Amino acid sequence: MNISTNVGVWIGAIAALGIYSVLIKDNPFYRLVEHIFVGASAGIAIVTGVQTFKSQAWSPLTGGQWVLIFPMLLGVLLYARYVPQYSYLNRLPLSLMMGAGAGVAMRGAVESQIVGQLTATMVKLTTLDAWIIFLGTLLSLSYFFLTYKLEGGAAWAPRLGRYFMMAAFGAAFGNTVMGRVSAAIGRFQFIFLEWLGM
Amino acid sequence: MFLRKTVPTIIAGVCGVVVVVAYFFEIAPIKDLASHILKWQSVIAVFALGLGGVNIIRLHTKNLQRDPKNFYSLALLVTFVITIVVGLAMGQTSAAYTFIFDYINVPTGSAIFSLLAFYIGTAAYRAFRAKNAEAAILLITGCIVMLGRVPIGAKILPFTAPATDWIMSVLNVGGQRGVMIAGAIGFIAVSLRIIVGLERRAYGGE
Repeated sequence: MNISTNVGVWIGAIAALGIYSVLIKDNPFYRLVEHIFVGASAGIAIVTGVQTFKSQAWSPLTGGQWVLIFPMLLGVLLYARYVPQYSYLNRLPLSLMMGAGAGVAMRGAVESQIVGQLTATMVKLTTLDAWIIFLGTLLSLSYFFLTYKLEGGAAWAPRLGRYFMMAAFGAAFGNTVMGRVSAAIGRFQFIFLEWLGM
Repeated sequence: MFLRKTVPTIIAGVCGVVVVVAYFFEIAPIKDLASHILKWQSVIAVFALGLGGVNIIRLHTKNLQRDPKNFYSLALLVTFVITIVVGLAMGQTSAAYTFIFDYINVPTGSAIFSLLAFYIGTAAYRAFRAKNAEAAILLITGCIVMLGRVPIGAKILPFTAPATDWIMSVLNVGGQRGVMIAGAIGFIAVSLRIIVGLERRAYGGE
C-alpha cells in the first residue's frame, strides 16, 4: 500500500466514505458531509451567478447599455417577498421569467420533440427494424389518446403501445443502473487506488 | 388588483408570444425584442439564484439561533461563505477555488450520484416481479440491457450484447418516441396555459 499524501485526495476519500456510510444507516458523519456538500455547491452556484451577472449585465450596463437597468430592477423586485405588504411585486419578474420560459419551452418542444421525432419516424420502411420503430411510435402514441376510450377492436393498440413503452422503460432502467454502477466503481477506484494506493 | 393579477398576466403573455413568434417568423423587430426578453430573463435568473442563497442563509441562521449546537447548519454556512469569498476574492481559476471544486464538490457529488446504484437494487427487486405481461417485458429488457452492458454479462450469455444493441436502437426508440411526442404535446398545452394567463399560479398568482 502506498497511501496518498495529497490533502485533497484525503478530503475527497473521507467525503466519499461519509456518503457511503448512510448505506448502513443515517448517521452524523453522513449528515455533516451532506451539509458541507450543499454549502459548497450552493456557494459555487452563487459564484457562477455573480460571474454571469458581471458579464451579462454589469459590464454591458457600464458600457452604455442603460436598458439593462430594467431587468436589474425587476430582479430586485424578487426580494419583495420578504416585505409582506409588497410581496405581490415579485410576480412581475416571475411572470417575465415564466412567460419567456414557456415560449422557449414551446418552440423547443415543437422543433426537437415533435418535428424532429416525426421526421425521424417517417423514413422508408424497407427493413423490419424500421417497421418496428414506426409501429412502436404509433402504438405508444395511441396510449396517450385520451379524447375517448378506445374500446372493442381498437383496444389492442394502446395495449401494444404499453408493451413498447415498458420495453423502453426497462431499457432505460438497465442503462441507469449501469451508469450508476460505473459511477460507484469510479469512486471505489478513487478510494482504493488513488487514496490507499493499493 | 391591477398590479397583482393583470400586469403579471400581460407580461407573461407578451413575453411568451414574442418569444414564440420570433422563432417561427422572420420579423426583425420581434426577433430583436425576443433576444432582449431572453437576455432580461437570464439577468433576472441571476437575482433568483441570489434569492436561493439568501434563503439558505436565513434558514440555517434560524436553525443556529434555535439550537446553537446544530453543527450541521454551522458547517453548511461556513462552507457556503468560504466558497463564495474564495470564488469572488481569488477568482474561479485560483488554486483554492479549484481545490474546493475538485476535492469537495466533485468527489462528494459523484458519491451521492453513485449511491443510487445501491438503492436501485431494492427498487429493482420491487419493480421486477413478473406479475403481468407489462412487468415481464420490463424485467426481461432491463435484465438483458444490464447484462449486455458489462463484459461478464456478454461472457455468460453471449446473445445479450447484440440483443442490448437491438433493444436500445429499435424497441427503445419506438417506445420512447411515442412518450416524447405525447410529452411535448402536454408541454405545449401547459406553456400555452401560462402564456394566455390560465396558469397564474406558475408566477405566484392565484
